[in-house]
Amino acid sequence: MTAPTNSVDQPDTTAPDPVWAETYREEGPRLIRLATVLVGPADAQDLVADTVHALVRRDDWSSISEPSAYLTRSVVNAAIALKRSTGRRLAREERSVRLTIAHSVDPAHAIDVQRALRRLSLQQRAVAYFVYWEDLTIPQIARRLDVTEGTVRKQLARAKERLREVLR
Amino acid sequence: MSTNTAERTHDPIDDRMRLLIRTAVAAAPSLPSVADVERGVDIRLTTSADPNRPMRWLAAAAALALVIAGGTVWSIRAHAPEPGADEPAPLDTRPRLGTYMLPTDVPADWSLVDISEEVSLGAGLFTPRTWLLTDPATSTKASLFVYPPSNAVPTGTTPASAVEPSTSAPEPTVLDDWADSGDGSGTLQWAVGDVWVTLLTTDEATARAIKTSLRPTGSGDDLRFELADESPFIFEREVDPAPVPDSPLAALTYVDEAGRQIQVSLSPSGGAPDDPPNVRSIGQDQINGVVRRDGLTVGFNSTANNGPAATIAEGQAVLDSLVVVLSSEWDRQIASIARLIQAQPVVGTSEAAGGTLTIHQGDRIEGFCFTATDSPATGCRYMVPGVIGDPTETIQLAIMVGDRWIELRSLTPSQAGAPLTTREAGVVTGLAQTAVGDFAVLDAPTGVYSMHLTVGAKSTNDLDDDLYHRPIR
Repeated sequence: MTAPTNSVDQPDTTAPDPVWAETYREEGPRLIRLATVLVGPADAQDLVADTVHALVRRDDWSSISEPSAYLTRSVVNAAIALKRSTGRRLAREERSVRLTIAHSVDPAHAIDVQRALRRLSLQQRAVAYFVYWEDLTIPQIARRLDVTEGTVRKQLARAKERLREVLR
Repeated sequence: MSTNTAERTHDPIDDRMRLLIRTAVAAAPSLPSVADVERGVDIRLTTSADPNRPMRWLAAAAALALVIAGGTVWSIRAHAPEPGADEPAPLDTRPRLGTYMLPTDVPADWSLVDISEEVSLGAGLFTPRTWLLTDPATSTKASLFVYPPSNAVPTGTTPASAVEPSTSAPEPTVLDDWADSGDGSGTLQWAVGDVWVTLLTTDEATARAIKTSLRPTGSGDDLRFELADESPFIFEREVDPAPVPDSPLAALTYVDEAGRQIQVSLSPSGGAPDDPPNVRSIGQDQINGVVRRDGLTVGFNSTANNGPAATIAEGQAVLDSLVVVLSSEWDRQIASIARLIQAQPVVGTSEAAGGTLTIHQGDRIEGFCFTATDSPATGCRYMVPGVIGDPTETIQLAIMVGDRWIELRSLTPSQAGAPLTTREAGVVTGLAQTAVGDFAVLDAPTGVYSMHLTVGAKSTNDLDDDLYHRPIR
């Protein structure tokens, strides 16, 4: 992708917006943040763009009743597939993010973010994102991910167990 | 959004996890523009799961589309005979790339350190096996969906020994969730071992009654169900799932003298026409490019923490210089990489799983090698520098030693004494204890294409369960 000279805040004025553009601009910032937690900053843009691109090619885009939840689930599902194909690249990206953070924050409090997140499954990362960034309740997360509240509680509890060892 | 503090008591870990997530989000890149999304993205060359078919949506759509015909009752127990001890291992019919390439114009200080070829199963993982059930007396319908094994299933699985396959029905987990769809139907979901099962029917009472009467047999991919005689439901038929092909995927990794990495990815282009190379920058730290040639989509990717690891011109040159080579040339390059890794100083070694594991660390080349005890065969894999010896890193990689598939998985200090088990017959597990860390070692013979590793005892909460797939090389 090119550098974002045509950013989401600067609509392309040379052609009419497609029907899905408004929803994309509304949901996009949240999707890119979620994608960053799921797959890391290097893959987040492509994950979101690939997912939305595939969805908007559907003829019945306008019939999707809850696009926010639908986009969320689609991004999570796409991340799961991506992870299985690019596992080795994750190690390299971890180093990139770790060094970036080390240079920008107090080293005494620097957290190797990607290394810690790799301890979690993608479903656990998604739940952690909604709990600790979007401050959603368990029922809200369950509806967003189309899973049961029990599943959300279990994923959150398991995420905490796995990260206790490294987040001291 | 307000925090639901009434629902959760404060746990000190919450503050640390909040900081972790917020730190992760702080690194989020900019959102791709609408124009970028419209053009489509050619960069990512992996096979992605069809986002139009999330798990539950597919289940509901399949159920709504079903038409029950006739009263034929099908036994859903698998009838395929178990392979005998004298029968040859099943042939490897997984798809290959078929065409192999190497770039001839690579900057002088770059070295080829890794070649991999594997089968991407992303799309196929979301296709469940589906059976229709009906109560002839009331005409009540139900659909039973059994998904491929998943390592995201909650704890509660029953690992078998490393030597003998499990012959008893796996114990169900505590997960037992009913979700009402609000349209006169709902789903009951539970896990049997590492397999998700979903039952779609009219109401929770009916669902639980059916679940109670289901008798699981087998496990993993062979999980099947029979209905108890006293159940009013019968199996109507099995619904043939739409075939979702597996897709091969390969990658070449290069490093330069400064330790920067670039990767060249290859996958089938699916009949798309040839396109010239298109190399571009993404932000200030990434160079990506793609070309379609000879039935393949080839991608170039370079990232680094302080500026890209390659220039646009270098990426263009790599893609322009691709030549088709024989598959045997890749094997020859893999052997050269093994010699390169073996030439590095040994920092750890251990006997395990019928061979010797050696760990090598040089100034910019690091990796793992495994030499079989009963043959001269050795296989090696490159490892990203800075990972070996770090106890907080999770290392997982596959090494092919002839036809043997060796899987390594690092263990945390708390896992060092934990039991290591697998469910697949013929897979040997071992513990490699070295000066730079402990590793679980799995040795899978020919014919085994996926295997599980369970670290820890079922009775503990620190149970890790991973699923691995055999690479092609």
